[in-house]
Amino acid sequence: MDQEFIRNFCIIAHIDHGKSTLADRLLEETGTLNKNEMKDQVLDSMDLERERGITIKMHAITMEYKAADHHNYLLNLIDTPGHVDFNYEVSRSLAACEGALLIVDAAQGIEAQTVTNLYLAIESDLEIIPVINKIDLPSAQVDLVKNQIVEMIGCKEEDILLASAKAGIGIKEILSAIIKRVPPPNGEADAPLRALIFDSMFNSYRGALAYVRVFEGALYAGQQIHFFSTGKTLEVQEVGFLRLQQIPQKVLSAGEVGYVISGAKEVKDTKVGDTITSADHPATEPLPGYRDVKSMVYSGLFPSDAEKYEDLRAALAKLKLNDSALFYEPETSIALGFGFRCGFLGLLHMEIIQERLEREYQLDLVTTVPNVEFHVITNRGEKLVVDNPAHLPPAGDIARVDEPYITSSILTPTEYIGNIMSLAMERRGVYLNTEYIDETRANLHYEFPLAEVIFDFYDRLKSLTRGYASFDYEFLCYREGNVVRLDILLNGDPVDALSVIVHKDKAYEWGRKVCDKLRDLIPRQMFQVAIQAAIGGKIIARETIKPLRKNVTAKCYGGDISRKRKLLEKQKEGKKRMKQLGKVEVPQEAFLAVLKV
Amino acid sequence: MTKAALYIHVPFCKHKCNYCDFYSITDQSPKLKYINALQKEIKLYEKNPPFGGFSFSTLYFGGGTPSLLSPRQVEKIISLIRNAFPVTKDIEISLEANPGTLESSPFKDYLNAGINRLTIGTQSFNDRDLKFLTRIHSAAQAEKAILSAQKAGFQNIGIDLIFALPGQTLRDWENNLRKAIRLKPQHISMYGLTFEEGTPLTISLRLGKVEKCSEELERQMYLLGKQFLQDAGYEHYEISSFALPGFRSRHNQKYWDDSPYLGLGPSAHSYNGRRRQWNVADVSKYLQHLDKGNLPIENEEEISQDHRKLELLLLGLRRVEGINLKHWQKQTGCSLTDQSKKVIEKMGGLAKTAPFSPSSKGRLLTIKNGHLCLTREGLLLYDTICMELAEALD
Repeated sequence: MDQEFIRNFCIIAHIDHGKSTLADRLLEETGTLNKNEMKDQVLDSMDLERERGITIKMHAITMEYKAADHHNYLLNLIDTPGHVDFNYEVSRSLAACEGALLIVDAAQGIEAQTVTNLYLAIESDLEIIPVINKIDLPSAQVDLVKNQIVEMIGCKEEDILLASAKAGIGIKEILSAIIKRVPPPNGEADAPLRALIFDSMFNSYRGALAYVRVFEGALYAGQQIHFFSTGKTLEVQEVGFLRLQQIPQKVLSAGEVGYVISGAKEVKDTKVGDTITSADHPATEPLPGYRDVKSMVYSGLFPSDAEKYEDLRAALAKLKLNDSALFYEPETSIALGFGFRCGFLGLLHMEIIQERLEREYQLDLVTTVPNVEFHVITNRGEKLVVDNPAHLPPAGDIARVDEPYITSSILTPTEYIGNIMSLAMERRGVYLNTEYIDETRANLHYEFPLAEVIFDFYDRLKSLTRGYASFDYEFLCYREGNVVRLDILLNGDPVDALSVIVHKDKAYEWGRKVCDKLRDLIPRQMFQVAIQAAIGGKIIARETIKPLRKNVTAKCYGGDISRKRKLLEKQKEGKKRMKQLGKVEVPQEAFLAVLKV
Repeated sequence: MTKAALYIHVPFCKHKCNYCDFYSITDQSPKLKYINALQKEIKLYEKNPPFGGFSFSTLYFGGGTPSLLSPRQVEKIISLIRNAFPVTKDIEISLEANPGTLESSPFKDYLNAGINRLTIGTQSFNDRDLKFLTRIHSAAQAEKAILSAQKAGFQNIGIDLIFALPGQTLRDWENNLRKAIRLKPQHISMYGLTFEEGTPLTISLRLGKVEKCSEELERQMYLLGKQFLQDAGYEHYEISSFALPGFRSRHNQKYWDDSPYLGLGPSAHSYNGRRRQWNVADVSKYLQHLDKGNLPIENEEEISQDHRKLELLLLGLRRVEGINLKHWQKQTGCSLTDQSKKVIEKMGGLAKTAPFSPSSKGRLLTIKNGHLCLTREGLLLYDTICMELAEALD
């Protein structure tokens, strides 16, 4: 197709601002899908995505549209994930486009995630088409939101489109704006091949499918291709366009978006952000912007039934096929047995993986307290990377511990600034500045130790601002941190699965809370159970579970026997689910409760 | 011939006590219909005996309040039983009597009706306790009932006492025990107050209107009771049961021995070694079933081998004598001591291995004369020990 008739665009929007619904309407309007094929929000294909109303993984789809000028256009919509954990993937899909629809909820206004992505889009020189969605809501404040947008991107008020994806208002206008305002691609068709992988997915029959945007040159079956970052060379088996199904094509040429099947077995062979070139006529430089995705948050995952270890391994391997950001390696815990240390992009990513393991693979899991990756310099000058509290050397051997910091923006109605500042102080935030977007909204910039936001930070932020504030962050650097390992001991024996690395000033409170929780959750036993929190050899908190002194059924006659036996059977079931730590029996809930301290 | 037990549930009470969860109603008007229906139930079992091959060596009128039946009514029921089933010559026939129903001093007549063992529901010799338990009688009435029964010629009398009442002191309990011993009943059962689901007492507890006695005090009361009664010559033979030599409750021992029993009347349970069934716990449904000539059975269950092991465990450990290991082997085909070796070891050697053990003096389980039994300390932790052993049986 002549590049003049191709438009590559994406949608930037906050969760719930109607991105998926709008995408559905576009598919409908262009006849890409008929009504029967429409499930609500077609592009979010995982149940989990549909349930949470968020897009976790991107998708792309090609629409054909006969415009008012009677020409047929190919419109490639490249969907973007809407969560901070997936920032890098967003930046890659932006890089594959020439234009972006900026969707803003008429009742909510712009949110932090949108701002971040908007700036990413502006940096990538994308043509921004602002759209105010949900204008038919009774609470819509169209004028206010218009002002916000004008101030943010410096556009004219008349450039802003008004729509209601739900009611089908303004869809034609959006399509026509895409054709008029988004520039067509202009890569050299004869230059050496350069194609950007902006997504990849695993198909059990065909291996890894790379979703690509061809910038220069052409991509065709039988071609030997070279992947810049992995250094691999493979032969193209098939290329094609992405509709709801894949439509094979002879060639993908400059400006086009589609898929490549090349015999790559896992998605890690087709890394998001990597550049594909021709092995015979290679380009000298890859497209800019590739980086390796790195895990930010780590946690141990253990099957609650030890016999499910192999099942867990198989499930992780399957998820990994499609998720190159997931990292895992075997871990053993004295308390929890065999499991895996897993690395995630962020908390949401972690929750999604856990939930998918439990839901799609029917695994019952015990997870340990998530932590970040610490850099430890020992007294002997060694540098250790520690992603597991168990591996932190004794305090006496440590010269220095560095912890990761993030830089973040918190977009909030101005009335909540005070609340947010107290929260930030509590979380060791370093204040940078405040930008006022308009009289009612401000963008607060802070640096935080990542460890402080991987817990309930986001929930706290939401509750302190009645749900109005939004939060976005990216990795900044490593800085020295005053952190210690806090161990929990049961009758003198440390429980490895309950150890955490915490800031020294917070260790006391953490220890006290965990001991308190465990006291309520561990049933009384025939002997006294001492629960202690300790740093090194020093006990900083203690609770005691008194021993059972009398536990005897007074009566048991003819009518009682069945009932007592059934009770015993039930208790026995409950007991089976306990973990035996030394002599102490600990219910699995105890491990989970620590996550909610 | 296997000796079985026969239980008759008398589902009437003048007043329902706040702690009791046995089935009974306070409307006594269907009493005659009940006796009629009971007669039909006896006949149905006579014609079609699921307990064929058994003869009965005990008969027990329990309730409810069996002493709301007149001696004549009791006599009639006994004679129906004797006609319908083989009974042993020395059959033990017990009747539970509430001191609040014995104003007419019917003891001689009960004796003549064939009752040879009377259990008098005393609960306490302290009026404040009796009021708390919403009993319909005073301490004086209870004492008088015991003395009158003795005078009338009853030579096998049992009384019940409840301890660990909210507010009760160790001294209160001691006084109770002294009084009981002075009256020289042949049998004394002492029960720690139990908060049964759905009773008014338990509701009061949930509402915070009453407060449980502390575990430590309850423990001391139990040990004090055991000591007092044993010192007075009573043999401790089941967790809550004490008897002068030769006066153990033969009927109740049948339950703990895993013997078969036939239960008649609403809510009564029956068991023949393989199956357990229970009657409807509802007088009018009971009457309706028997009116139509049907057995008033609500439901039944097969006792699987695994169930049976658990029951043998639960019942056997209640007996101070413990579980007969040979009997266990014969009944289950496996060795209890092999299967639960670790638990027994742990409970027997806890003092050495666990520095936090409260029972530093002793063990919880022991093997004596071919029986696995609880120690004094073990008796207090019966529920937990059953749990541990049950787990080991898997």
